[in-house]
Amino acid sequence: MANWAHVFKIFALLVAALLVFLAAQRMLRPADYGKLGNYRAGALNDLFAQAPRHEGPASAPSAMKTSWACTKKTSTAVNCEDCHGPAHLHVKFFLGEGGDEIAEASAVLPREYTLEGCLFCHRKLAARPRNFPQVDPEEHFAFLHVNDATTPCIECHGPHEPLFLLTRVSEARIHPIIQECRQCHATPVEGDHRAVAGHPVIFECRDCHRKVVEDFAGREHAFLRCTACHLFYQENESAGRIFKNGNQRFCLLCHEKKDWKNGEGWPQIVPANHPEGVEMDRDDPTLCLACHLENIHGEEAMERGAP
Amino acid sequence: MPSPEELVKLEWGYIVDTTRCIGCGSCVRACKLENDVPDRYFRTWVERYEIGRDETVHVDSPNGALESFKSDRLADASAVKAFFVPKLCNHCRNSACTQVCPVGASFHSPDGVVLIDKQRCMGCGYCVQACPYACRYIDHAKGTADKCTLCYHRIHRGLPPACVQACPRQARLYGNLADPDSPIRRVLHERRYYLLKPDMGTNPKCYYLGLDLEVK
Repeated sequence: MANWAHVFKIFALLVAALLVFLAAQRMLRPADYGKLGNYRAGALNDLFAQAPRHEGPASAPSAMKTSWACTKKTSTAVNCEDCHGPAHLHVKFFLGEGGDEIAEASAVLPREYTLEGCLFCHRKLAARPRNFPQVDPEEHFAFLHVNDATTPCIECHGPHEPLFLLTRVSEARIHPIIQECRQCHATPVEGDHRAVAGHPVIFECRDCHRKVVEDFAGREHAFLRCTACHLFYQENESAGRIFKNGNQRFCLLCHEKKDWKNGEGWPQIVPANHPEGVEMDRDDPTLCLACHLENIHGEEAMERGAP
Repeated sequence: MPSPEELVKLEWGYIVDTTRCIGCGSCVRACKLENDVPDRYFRTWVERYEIGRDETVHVDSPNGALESFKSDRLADASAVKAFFVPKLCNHCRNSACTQVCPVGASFHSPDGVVLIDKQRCMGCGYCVQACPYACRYIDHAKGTADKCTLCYHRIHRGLPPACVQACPRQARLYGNLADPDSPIRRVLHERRYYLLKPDMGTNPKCYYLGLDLEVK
């Protein structure tokens, strides 16, 4: 028997260690560990307890949606909080659900109307899909004779209605896709593609609208591409929507006099002091073209379905 | 919070449509603000791939695209192909991060989300090393690992994850993979998709549309 004593001692030690381990495990392991899996079930509730900060469009009162959401804008998918910041305090405070804990100052939505804020989405980048509206700020400012390179976009473009289109996107004319040389050519192309044997037929405005394009070439706006006013919004690989513009706000994007423009290039006006005594109301539906058509197109071009 | 019986009927999945992403960083900013993600760390970020004419691949993500991208790295004429790829936790079915956790702090929820129990995590960093997608980081202020939770606090309140809600181009979609009629299931049924690093055998639940082979 004496020969087995050391075995019993080792066995007793092992049993004692196991009991200590089991006791420690029972004491240290959370009570809900293993209820749902190999983890603490209460962790799910801990994560769920976090309060959402981005409320989403559903939280906006209906009156706000009606007055602020522009039905004509192309950027209808942009969430309010993308520009204005998280609205959790804002909604709770103004619905009176926050009690005294939320100060009004912290409930007012921060605004991101800086130049950079807009360029986050709209800066021209090669990696951006070509059918997404993009702008090279340097090129754009040079074109508009802007002196101050930090001028925010909202000086001209209303953030809730950036382009003041005459028609909704869904109501604008379906138009075949407008091809651009750079889609195939890596470097700028000179000359006429029609002179190149076997060159694919591409849609240029004059291919279908020869009469209008030839007439336009002799008018004051001839330095512009057609799509400067007839904005094209590509919807899929073969077609898009094209707009006819000419409403006041759209024309004023270029022609409104501003302190940060150098006054060169083309006529710039102060709407409230329109030349020749014509008062302009920004909400007046009268088109600039009613008086200034001769600077752009002939009379026949205004007819629906004109070539 | 749904009951465990209801949770097992769900399997959350995620779709990223790279053909729609404009690299604006709205998702990154929304995630940061929603989840108090510390500076220089990201639960989601946007990478830009520019493939030159000599087939060299340039990848960058300045500050996770928190403030979008300032300019093209390659001159426009020399870039053959360029696109954005948003990244986030892939919520893998066979996740390496949960397998290596020594204290059971990384786990799969019954509804298929890979989560971290902050009470148990001791910040050893094994999971950070194990994740083949570099989706985890150590939050030094809290001393724990951290990652995308698919906005677990939002999806069970009927709200989309902050990044999905913030995306102005609907390049991100989430939904219940267990429901054959869910929008996410329909997209996966109709569109061709790709998984990141499929050879790793992690079986991710984050599906990418329009992805290129250069993307790792």
